[in-house]
Amino acid sequence: MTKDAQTPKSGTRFGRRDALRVGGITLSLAALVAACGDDIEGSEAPGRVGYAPPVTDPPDYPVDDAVLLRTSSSLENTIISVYDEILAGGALEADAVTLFERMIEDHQMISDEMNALAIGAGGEAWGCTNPWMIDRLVKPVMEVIETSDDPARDMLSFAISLESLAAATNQTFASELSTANLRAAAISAATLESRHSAALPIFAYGPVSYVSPALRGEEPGTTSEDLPQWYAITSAFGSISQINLVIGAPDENGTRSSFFLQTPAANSYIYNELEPTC
Amino acid sequence: MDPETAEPASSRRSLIGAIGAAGLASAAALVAARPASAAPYTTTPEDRELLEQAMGLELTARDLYLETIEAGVSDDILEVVEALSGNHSAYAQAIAAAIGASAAGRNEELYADLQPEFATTDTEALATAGWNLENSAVATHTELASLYESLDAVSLTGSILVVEARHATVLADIGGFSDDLDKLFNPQSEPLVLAGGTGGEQS
Repeated sequence: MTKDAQTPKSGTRFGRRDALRVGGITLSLAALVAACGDDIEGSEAPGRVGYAPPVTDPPDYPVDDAVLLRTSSSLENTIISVYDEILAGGALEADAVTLFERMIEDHQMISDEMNALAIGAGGEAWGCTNPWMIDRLVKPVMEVIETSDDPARDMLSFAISLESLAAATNQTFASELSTANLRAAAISAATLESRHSAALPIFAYGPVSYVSPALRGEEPGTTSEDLPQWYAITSAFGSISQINLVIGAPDENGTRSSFFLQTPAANSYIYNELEPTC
Repeated sequence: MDPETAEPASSRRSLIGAIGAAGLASAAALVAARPASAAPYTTTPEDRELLEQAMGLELTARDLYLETIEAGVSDDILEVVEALSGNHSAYAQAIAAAIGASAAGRNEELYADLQPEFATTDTEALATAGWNLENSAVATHTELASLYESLDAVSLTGSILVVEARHATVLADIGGFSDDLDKLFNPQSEPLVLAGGTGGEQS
């Protein structure tokens, strides 16, 4: 009797390969059934890779006029604290010191006005800096400036970006505040801070910084150190988009530190429920 | 030229003469009492009336800088003057889009008043005239912003006047008086008279 070539040695018609195949199909179907079931448990958040800090949900507090005004005041106070630190460092020339002292006066005036309006809107004055901005922006930037190849240059760049941020913030709040007098205050603040933001590049770079080539549809220029050139007139309309700050000494690849400044949002508002931190 | 003496004549200093002080007062009272949540997003008929005046101002500014270019301004500041004229043209077009009209109808009275100051090749004189105009435009838009009912009008106006403040800062430097920080940051400008702005000749 000759053995059939198709018959396995065991003598059955169901071989090891068939067992593996059937087992795989069974497991796949089981996984499919489990995935389609309605008893799913566990986190539904997207998967995370690496060691990024956990995501913190923004506070779920109401945003009213007082919150916007307190936030504006906190930004003004933050800028004052940065300028105080810059002046204390002693790296600026005498004419720059005069300019920074004047800008501090102006920011203090705006902060006081915003706090008075916040009280009028039923809130409380906020005499502190903005904690979120201090932790996420000011401290990291000042650390980079400390080890910069040109601290005075980077301090001016930081000041230009802060003035632009303050102008953009108050420009944004002007259309979010509820009454005409509050809007007028925000617009006046935005106007003054736009003047600061325009004066600083002229102070640092002269006439080359008057108008950005972007207004002619050309690429904005760079400085002799290959840093982005700051301009007094950057666009036709007031921009509220993020501001790119490039500072610090270049690394071995010639790359400097970049920071992106954004107008306050849910995670950096000074809600009425927050207690002062100073 | 002293910027203080170059401010616009008093005939240009009270706002929106065509609408009238009483109308402005009542409009301001209404707007001040309205919470933002109740403010309409798109421009109202009352807004469009005011925005049309603002558009006339922007067209006037555009044409005044074109006068300077035509007069043969120095190459050193030609790019600046072209940018300022272009920006004011963009503002007029943006306002026109907001009110559903074409960008036409400069303020002829204002134009005639200021044209001699802008038809010049004297850089410092031009800078002073431009500085006055830009700061007056900022004051005018600031005043108007407190009268608008719609968020669109407030938002557009805010985005215009903050750049006009930058224009003024550049012109102060060109004019050689940017060392005076009071003039630079806190110019004492009054809103312009916009009476007669509507219905003028198209430019």
